[in-house]
Amino acid sequence: MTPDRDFDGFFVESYPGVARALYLALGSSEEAEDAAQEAFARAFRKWDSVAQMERPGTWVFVVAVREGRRVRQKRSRELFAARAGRDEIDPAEHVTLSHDLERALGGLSSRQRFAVVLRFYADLTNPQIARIMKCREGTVKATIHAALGRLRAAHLDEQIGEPNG
Amino acid sequence: MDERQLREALTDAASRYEPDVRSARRFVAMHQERPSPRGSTRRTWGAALLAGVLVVGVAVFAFVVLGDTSDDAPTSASVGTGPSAPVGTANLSDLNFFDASNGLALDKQCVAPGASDASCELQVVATSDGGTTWTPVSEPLHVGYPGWRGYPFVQFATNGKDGWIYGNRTFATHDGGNTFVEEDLGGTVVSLSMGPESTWMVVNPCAPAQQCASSVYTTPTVGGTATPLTGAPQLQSFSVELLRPSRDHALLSASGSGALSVTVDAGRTWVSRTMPPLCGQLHHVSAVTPQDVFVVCSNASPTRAQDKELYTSDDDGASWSLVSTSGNGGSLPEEGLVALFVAVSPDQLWMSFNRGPLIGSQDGGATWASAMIPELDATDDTDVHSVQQLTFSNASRGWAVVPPDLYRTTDGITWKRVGGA
Repeated sequence: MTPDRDFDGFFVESYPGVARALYLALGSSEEAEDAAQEAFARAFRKWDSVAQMERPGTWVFVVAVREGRRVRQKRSRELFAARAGRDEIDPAEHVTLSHDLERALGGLSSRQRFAVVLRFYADLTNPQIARIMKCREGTVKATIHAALGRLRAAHLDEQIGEPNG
Repeated sequence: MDERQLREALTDAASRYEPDVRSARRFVAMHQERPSPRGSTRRTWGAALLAGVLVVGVAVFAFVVLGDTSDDAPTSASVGTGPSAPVGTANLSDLNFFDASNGLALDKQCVAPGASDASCELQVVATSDGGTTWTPVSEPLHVGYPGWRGYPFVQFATNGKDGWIYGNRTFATHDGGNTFVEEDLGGTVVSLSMGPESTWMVVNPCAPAQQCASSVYTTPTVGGTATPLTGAPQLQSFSVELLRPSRDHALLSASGSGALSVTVDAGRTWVSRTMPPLCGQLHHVSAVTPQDVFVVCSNASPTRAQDKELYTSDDDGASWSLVSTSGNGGSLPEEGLVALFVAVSPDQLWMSFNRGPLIGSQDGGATWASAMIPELDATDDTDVHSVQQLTFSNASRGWAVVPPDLYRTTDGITWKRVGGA
């Protein structure tokens, strides 16, 4: 890959996939696109070095996931503050996934949900997820194990098997 | 719902969601340039010719660098106007530390739209706490690179007072980065080495693909006119490295070609050295003293792995000894292409790669161990971090730029993250 690689081509090729993964992990198109846009804006600002990477799409995906987790934490704090102030919050405001899938994923913590999406949608291995989420591989295994346990406990996913990664 | 069904449900949900690509592209376009920290309007380069001095066939023009908000001004500039909000480490490059606490660096953000000229926002930032926090020294410089469609070459070297932002365009400062004056040496400054009295620059007059011969110039570090070192070898390469381990001693090398020349009389005469016979390609040279010169040779493999050999010389490169290799059980890793190599002392060496760990040696290169920087220690394709710069203020204090983070060692062995993006 050369530094002259066209950013527009990279953007058109990579943006939808990154945004979709974030959409699943966050359950909100608004938050997903906020995070994805910020990641691609950073990629553009650093395009001289990102373009030289063997897989710039991976770089922007990692940045986007981390940005997505940051956006989610920020929104959670805002929601908490709004509730503390007795503002009316519509829980469905940020939920646009199908009802069943959202029910399945909605019982997971943010961390568990990201891990499940990265594992079962993005098909990443546990070591790869560990690096993206900046934690140990054992933590990823435990997180996914706990997530699947929650899904089972909710009687939504009685036959989900353990990942092999 | 089993694991397969969970995958299918996620894939199905994702496929039914159509991201708003157009809006996203507009957002990215709007954020191509950071707003000025002072909220000023978009700045471009406003130039006023201050002086032009013809020196031995080389035109050296100095441009007064003035702040300008007009869009049609060809150049613009920066005058220090006081402290600004701290900046993160995400875009830091070219760290220059003068002791354990104080340093200057360049916050560099360049864009190369392809259809139009490249441009950069360059801001000198300072730290007084060893790199934990960085604050702008002055307003950012907005530099255009007319006719340059790729990403421009931009580097920064300083001793704290005098310094140069050099590369495709070159600017000098003699007040710690508060103001800069453009210097035109007739080409791209591809390497620069500052000494207490003089600063040497390697200038290539052509674009990289044209393979023109480079020239070496010397200029007083405190400011003055540049004059050519007429006896210096003219290397036909853009990848030229100039090292000056002492006032009168220098090594000039061209990566890939194997060319290495040495001067011991401040550049008046130069001697060409022969590289070790098994050296595939010369890639990196580092010298602590004229008696402690190291070179890293490697093959030109564009793949993930690369044969590597480390040689040392105690006689200015006249003879070489093999220290370590990557093959046959050698102590250097086969994985990764060597990106940086620094000899901090005759015993302490550091090496980084396009992927994979930062490794260090405490025994002159015989054995190597990972610096244990977590983001670098993975080697699969999801790990896209790499060390962009290594710099040391002494044998025990060093800094590693691993975007978006900055790492520091205070014992020459272990590294910890400082500051944040």
